[in-house]
Amino acid sequence: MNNENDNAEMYDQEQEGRLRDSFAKLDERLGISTQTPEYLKQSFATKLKAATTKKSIFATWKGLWGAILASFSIGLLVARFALMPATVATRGAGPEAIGDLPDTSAKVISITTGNPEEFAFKVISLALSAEMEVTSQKSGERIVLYIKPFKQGLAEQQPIKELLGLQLEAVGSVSAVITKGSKK
Amino acid sequence: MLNEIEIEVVFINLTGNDIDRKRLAINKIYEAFQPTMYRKLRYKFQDLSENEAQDIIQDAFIKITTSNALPREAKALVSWVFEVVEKTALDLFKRAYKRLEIPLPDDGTEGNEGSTFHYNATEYIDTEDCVSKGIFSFSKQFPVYAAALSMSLAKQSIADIAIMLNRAEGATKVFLMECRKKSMPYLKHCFEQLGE
Repeated sequence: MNNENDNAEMYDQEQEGRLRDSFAKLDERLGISTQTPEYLKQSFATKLKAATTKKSIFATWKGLWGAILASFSIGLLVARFALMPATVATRGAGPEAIGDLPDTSAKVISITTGNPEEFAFKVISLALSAEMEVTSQKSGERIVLYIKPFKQGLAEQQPIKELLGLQLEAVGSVSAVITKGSKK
Repeated sequence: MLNEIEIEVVFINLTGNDIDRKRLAINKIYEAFQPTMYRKLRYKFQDLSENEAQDIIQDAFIKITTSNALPREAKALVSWVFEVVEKTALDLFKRAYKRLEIPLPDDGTEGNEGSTFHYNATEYIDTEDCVSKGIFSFSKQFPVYAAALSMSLAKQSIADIAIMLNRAEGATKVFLMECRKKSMPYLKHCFEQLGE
């Protein structure tokens, strides 16, 4: 639908023509066109590829992170068994001790997401940033993350609690079972 | 601009998980909406070079790749694109102006109603020169009005102008009448000269 001059009486045909020519010149000076020029399409495609490839390169680091975490997790398992008596002996009644609860007390949460690996990676990154311990286990499409210790009132743990859907007051340890499925 | 089917396809590709399809969708969005978005903001930010302005518009469209809140349905795609891109571009233009220490222009929608346009017949070589200068002043004072009027004079559809203005088509027709009225003080004297 073309817009015709609804109030052409303001400018006559000749005046409209002069306006059109002057606007066309101004548009040209400002680099305005009605179609996207080919050189801009190409430069945008290049920029877009670079912007989205960065993410892919980042994603390839997931494997390395996984390997590093797997090595640590073995060490953590050994350390947990080896230090169990000492842990029991030193556990107090204060709020800090709640974070040292044994595995059996871990809260289990189930998460369904389109990309379990990516989600797990986010959780691991946040947990490491918050100086927490994470153990990961993969079985088929399912990833289980054992994360501890959640403590009350720690600002650095807030993002991971939000990501896992935990209450901000949550304490102790969490086993997150991440499975592939429709979006969380 | 895109037709309904194209919008549907772009929406599906944009909201899916395939990165190549996402790129395809964003390229399509850029090609379809770059001219309108660039025109709208370029009329307001005329003091940067064309390359700088085009770079900013491209960077603003790239922002779509990192936007977390995607549109919920295909119908909302166009307004969502304009909202995300315009907001980002405005921010980038303002930063560029600040960096180059250029004073920021007034809001292009309202213009400066209190200002008066002064002209001197001896300043102009001829009517064409007078009209050019009048349009330039009008575009500086009322960039959004000028952008809409330029689209209208270039015979672009009401639908396209309505998208740029984020208005309904009926409201856009009224707005275009307003554009002509607002432009009169900048051009009337030129045509009076022409009539002599």
